[in-house]
Amino acid sequence: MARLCSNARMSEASRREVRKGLEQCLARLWRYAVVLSSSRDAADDLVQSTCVWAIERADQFAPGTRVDRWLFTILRSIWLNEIRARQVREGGGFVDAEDALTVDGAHEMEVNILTAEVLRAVGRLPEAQRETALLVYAEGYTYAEAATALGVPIGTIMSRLATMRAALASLK
Amino acid sequence: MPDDDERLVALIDNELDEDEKSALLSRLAQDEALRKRLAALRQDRARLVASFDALLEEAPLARFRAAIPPADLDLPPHPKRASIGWLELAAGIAIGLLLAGAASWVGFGGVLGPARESWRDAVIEYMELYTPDTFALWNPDTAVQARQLQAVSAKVGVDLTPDRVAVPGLRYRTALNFSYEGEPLAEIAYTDAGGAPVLFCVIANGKPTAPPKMVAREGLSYVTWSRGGRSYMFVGRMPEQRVAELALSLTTRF
Repeated sequence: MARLCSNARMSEASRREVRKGLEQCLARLWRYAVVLSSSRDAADDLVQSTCVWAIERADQFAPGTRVDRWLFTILRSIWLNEIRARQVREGGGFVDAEDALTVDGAHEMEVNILTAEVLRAVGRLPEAQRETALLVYAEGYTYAEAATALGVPIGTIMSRLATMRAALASLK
Repeated sequence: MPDDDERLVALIDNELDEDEKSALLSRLAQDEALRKRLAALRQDRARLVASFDALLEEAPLARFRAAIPPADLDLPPHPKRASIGWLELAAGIAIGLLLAGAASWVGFGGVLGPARESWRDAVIEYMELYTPDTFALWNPDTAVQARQLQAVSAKVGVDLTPDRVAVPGLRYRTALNFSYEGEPLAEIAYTDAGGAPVLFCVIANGKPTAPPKMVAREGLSYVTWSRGGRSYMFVGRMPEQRVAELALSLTTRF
């Protein structure tokens, strides 16, 4: 009985943390989704699917661990297993990479032109480089954490970032 | 040199261990070309972060927030989950949570599902059409409320007055007469502070007395009970705890 109560309390804690995490991470999840998918429509689907999946399986989240990383893992899994596959089947989604990674005109004026240029340049990079750059430079993953999250060796992370930084260096 | 690029970027990102860092710094001290390459790669990290952060402003947050299922739809890990605090809250009222009895609703298939099983389902199905705008222009004064309630009282045979149907926290909007399979059905509509419709329904169906019972499904929460040959339902699209709190004033009067 005590174990049941303990499990129930843990489940409650999981659900609370997942809901709170979702609310706090929505914009970051969408940013990850749009960087991954290069499509705002696909990004919307991806985030909504992530929300549903996370709520339905909140019991699988270990309270006290990083909910943002857990949500990112879910989002990436849905991207790889469902939405990217659908885009490939439908033959779309990869042509507007540069367009998806833009900010609207009014906002662009505020954030400065070079920043918008960097964003467009990131949009021209291959998916793997975009994703690695996002995790390391926007989400603060260490190389080792990014390697674990993406299931690749650290050397691959270094290689992707070096290639990406070289491409962006030409903007200076 | 690709390998050098990787090391230089790792140096910039502070990802080299001390030995690697020392070795690279020694080389940089002696190699002008390498220093130039470092300078070229020293893409401002802050500018990259700012670029990604600019994207955050574009996220359609309202749409996503609306897509997050309400808390009352969380699947219980155990049939008795969350029932204790709830019952304490509704002390004195025998409200039995039906969360564990979700299987009985499997055939329902949502409020617009295939089988309409009772007058309650009919009300819920109709309620799906309501929006915060539905009753926005309905603001009857107390005299009009009394006349409306008198009209529905006469049909369902229950004393309904503005005072008796008043629910703290809800605004009375209207009272309507319906009929379900020949049985008079009164619907009293309210809205909460956010404009969300909430209904209190009475049907003269001759059912035996039954204690209040809480049900949550498809984002809706409702309390049903029967007394004096009338069945009652109080329903809103809000968490079950909130509906339970609001329903208390009615379950104690009817």
